[in-house]
Amino acid sequence: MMKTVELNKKQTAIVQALEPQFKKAGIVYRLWVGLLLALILFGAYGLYKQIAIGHVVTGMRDNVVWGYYIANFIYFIGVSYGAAMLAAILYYFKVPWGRPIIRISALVAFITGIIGPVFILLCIGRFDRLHYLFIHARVQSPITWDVMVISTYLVGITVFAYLLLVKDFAILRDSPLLELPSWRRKLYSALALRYKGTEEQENQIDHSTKSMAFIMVPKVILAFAVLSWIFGMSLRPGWHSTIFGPAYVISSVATGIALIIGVMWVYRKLFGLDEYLTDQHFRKMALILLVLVAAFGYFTFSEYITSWYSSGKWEAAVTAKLLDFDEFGWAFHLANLFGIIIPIIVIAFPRLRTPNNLALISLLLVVAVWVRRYLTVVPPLETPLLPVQDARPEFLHYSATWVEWALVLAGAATFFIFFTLIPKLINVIPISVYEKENK
Amino acid sequence: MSESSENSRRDFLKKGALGVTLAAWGQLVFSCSSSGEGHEHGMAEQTDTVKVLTPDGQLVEVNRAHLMHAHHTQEVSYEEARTGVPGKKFVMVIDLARCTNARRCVSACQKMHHLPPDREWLTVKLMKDSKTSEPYWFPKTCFHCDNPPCVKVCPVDATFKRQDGLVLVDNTRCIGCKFCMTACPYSTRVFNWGEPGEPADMKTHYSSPETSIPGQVGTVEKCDFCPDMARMGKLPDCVTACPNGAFFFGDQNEDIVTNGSETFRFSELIAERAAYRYGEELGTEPRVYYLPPVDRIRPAEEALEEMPEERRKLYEDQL
Amino acid sequence: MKRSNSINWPFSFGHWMLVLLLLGLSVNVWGQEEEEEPEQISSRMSLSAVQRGEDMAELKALARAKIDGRFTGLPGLEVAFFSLSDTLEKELGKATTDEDGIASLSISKSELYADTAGAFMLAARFDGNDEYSDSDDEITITAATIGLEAQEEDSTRTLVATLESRGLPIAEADVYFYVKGTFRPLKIGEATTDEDGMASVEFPAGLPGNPDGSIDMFVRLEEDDTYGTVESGVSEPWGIPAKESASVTRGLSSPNPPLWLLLTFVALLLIIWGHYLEVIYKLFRLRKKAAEN
Repeated sequence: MMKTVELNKKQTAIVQALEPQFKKAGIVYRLWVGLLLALILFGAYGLYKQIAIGHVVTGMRDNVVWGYYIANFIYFIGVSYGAAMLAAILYYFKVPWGRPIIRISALVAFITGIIGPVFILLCIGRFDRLHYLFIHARVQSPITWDVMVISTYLVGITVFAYLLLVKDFAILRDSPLLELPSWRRKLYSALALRYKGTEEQENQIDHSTKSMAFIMVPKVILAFAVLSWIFGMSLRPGWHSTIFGPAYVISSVATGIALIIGVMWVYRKLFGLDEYLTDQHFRKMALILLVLVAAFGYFTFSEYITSWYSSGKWEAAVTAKLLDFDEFGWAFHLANLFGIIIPIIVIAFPRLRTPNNLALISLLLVVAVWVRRYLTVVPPLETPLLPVQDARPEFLHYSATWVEWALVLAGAATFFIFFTLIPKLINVIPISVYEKENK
Repeated sequence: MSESSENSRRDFLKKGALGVTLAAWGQLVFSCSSSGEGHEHGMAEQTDTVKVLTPDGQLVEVNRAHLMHAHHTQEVSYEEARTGVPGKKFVMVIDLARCTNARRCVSACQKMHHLPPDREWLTVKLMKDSKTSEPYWFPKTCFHCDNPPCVKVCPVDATFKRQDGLVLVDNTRCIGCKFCMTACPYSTRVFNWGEPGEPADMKTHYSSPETSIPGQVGTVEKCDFCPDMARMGKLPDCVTACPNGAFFFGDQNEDIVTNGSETFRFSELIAERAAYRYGEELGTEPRVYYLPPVDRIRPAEEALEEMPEERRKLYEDQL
Repeated sequence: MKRSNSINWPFSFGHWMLVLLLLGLSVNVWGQEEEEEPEQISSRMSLSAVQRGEDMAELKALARAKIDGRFTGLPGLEVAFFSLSDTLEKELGKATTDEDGIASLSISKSELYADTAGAFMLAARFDGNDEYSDSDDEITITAATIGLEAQEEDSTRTLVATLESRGLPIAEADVYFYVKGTFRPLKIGEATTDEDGMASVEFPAGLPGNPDGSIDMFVRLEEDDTYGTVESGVSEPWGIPAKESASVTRGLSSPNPPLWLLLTFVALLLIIWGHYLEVIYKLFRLRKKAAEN
């Protein structure tokens, strides 16, 4: 007789709570998925145009050679790193309250980690030569570092997320409480790798996961550093600054956590998971967010007050554009208001620290940091050392075209469609992490 | 608007500015406006095309570049194109006192490299160093830095530094990531956002990093100091096109630079005229030296005044 | 605008046909004329000669035409060179103009007809083609040689030129001294010949030479009315030896990365991917072990 994975009381309760998550899709769900698919198709059409005609269909030109795509790239990949770091730390240190959050963190890391690199590919003029990045790789280039680090990271986060899932797949395969079609049982069975919950297997999985979690932290720091160096290694003011890397790490981890709070809130609402994702969880996450956002605020202030105060001409020109309300002033100040100041205020007062408020400020922060990413990329490029003196307005100021909008929206739609489809297949609250409970 | 403006010769009894040919001013100055939309029509076309009789007696207008069969270049191997002309160290000196924004260098460069009007490898900027100082025209080529920020960051070895000092782009290798464009502090590089214009006649050209021909969509390109010409001992086209002899080109190893009609010892010229390199503080070690705009042969404002209003607007921010 | 409706047409249909026929004929005639006599662009030839060393002469013919109001060199034309005497004419050879419109031919002076005063009569001819009319040019130059000697005394280096025509010195002639360059020669001095036909300049210090330190110099009498251009060269080890181009060093802007960077890069990749492989191997073992059980 085959041994099956045994469940304790808490785990049984979670499996039973899976019902709303796994239930058959309704009309609203289908419409939503349809809308997202339409957006993705629209993006695909934009991509087709870009490949067929050239980058001339985008708003990028000789001075601003990077725009929405790179902003989106550093945004998503940063969020991914941040979420991966959170998942790894929560797992490695066995933070008790972190158990229900690890799954969502790993999923956010995995999904944004897939979407991010797509956007740097969109910046590449010659898709047909992508393999040159490997066959003609130049170790001196930060792009080569990034290619290696990102591909390494993607494999790492995939393996890590999968390791975290193996035991749950076995539970889903075996659980008599669930009514599942046979193809799904077969799928879970294949993915569970014949995990039967023997002590040896358990030790092995736990050990592997733990070592993946351990190595994830330095890897993510390295990945963050390399990504920020793509900018930091250049001579451009706004990029060439020591604080660029730390500020990027801090803001990305903050965004990752905000996104996780948002996803937690949505899943809790949709699947009735109040018992597992409690208000307490939201508050704990919010406190981490508070520290990070405050640090981000401090770094931001430090970065711009130094360049505002001193008289370096080129650097001051970039800062002046960020502060000038005729240029990027509104975007910059509003991003700081919604991304730094309001989150700090809301989290700082216990009375305001409700899940609904936290979800709201998370949404604000997620958008605000995206704006900050845009402001990281574009104003320094619009401020070259030599005057531009060009008759063509698109060479002076960047403004995204429909193709870029289509692809950015397609990126967001991809994020949403993943988070819509995944709960149909994977339990968003991990079951196996509760195996020591009630024993 | 015809070429009635024959070159008038005027002697400049200034040091080092003897016997400089000055183009007649007037419309010619604007005949090759850089990027303005007006470029496709008007004078530019007339100066770029000539009327010739074909062998069967037809009077046709053809592009002058085609009439001249462009330049016949000496074909070299890919390896040679990557290592450079042996024993040379090319260097350029630009005399800002002689630049009057005649823009002949720009049009010669466009012709040489088969560039459409909206993609310039060589630009002429109006510079004004401070509120109180006088504006001057500033021709800007690629500086072919000895410590090139662009080469450092290239992930695929598509842009490279040769032993003869030149920084070139292999547009069959370039993946179009544009990292070099963000790395270059001098905004030297241009990107083929769409299909490159004006295809070259590949019967008289050959494809190599030394020619950058044909241009390829989705790749980066830039001023290359015409290495195919230099290999044959010929000066780049911007140098020979300048009516004022503002560009000097040569081999630093033999310490000689020339604008075609005047030849100087490079070390003496830059010492006597207090040459500087643009953005020296950036540590890029440019191979282009500028002679300060002292005793300008013509104030920069004169060229500005002769410009059409819309073109003058481009420089307003600078003044 | 006023239009008159009351014009009486005096012509009948037949008249009209006649007019049309005539018009047609005349158009045809003009067309034929154009084909028979295509309008050639008139070309211009200018011939010059350089007497080089002891015996050589280089003939240079520049073919030009006024195109679009500007004189432009005509590439690809075949130019024939001739040596003339009072009665005889000898074709020396042919050359095709390069992209600047210059055709040149080097020939030994002993091949040329010379008159009693030692003068050569030379001609260059282009026979014309469909595009450009024929043109020619003739010059007369007198035989001359210029010798160049490099003298070194103590630390002073001097170049001495000796200008002669048929063994007799040429005095009061301006000669120019040059160092060869990649693109253009660099003038290092000028002097006027004395009654012995000699002129000298001091060689400037610090000029770079070839890798072996040699430096190519030449002296020239330029475009003289009687002698044309006369030049000769010499190579002396007076230059500062050029450094051999260094081999490619490792560096950020070299194709080869600094060693520490390469090692760090590879080490990091090996460590992380090694770890991955270990984890993935263990995962597969998990499966295998379960099967064994």
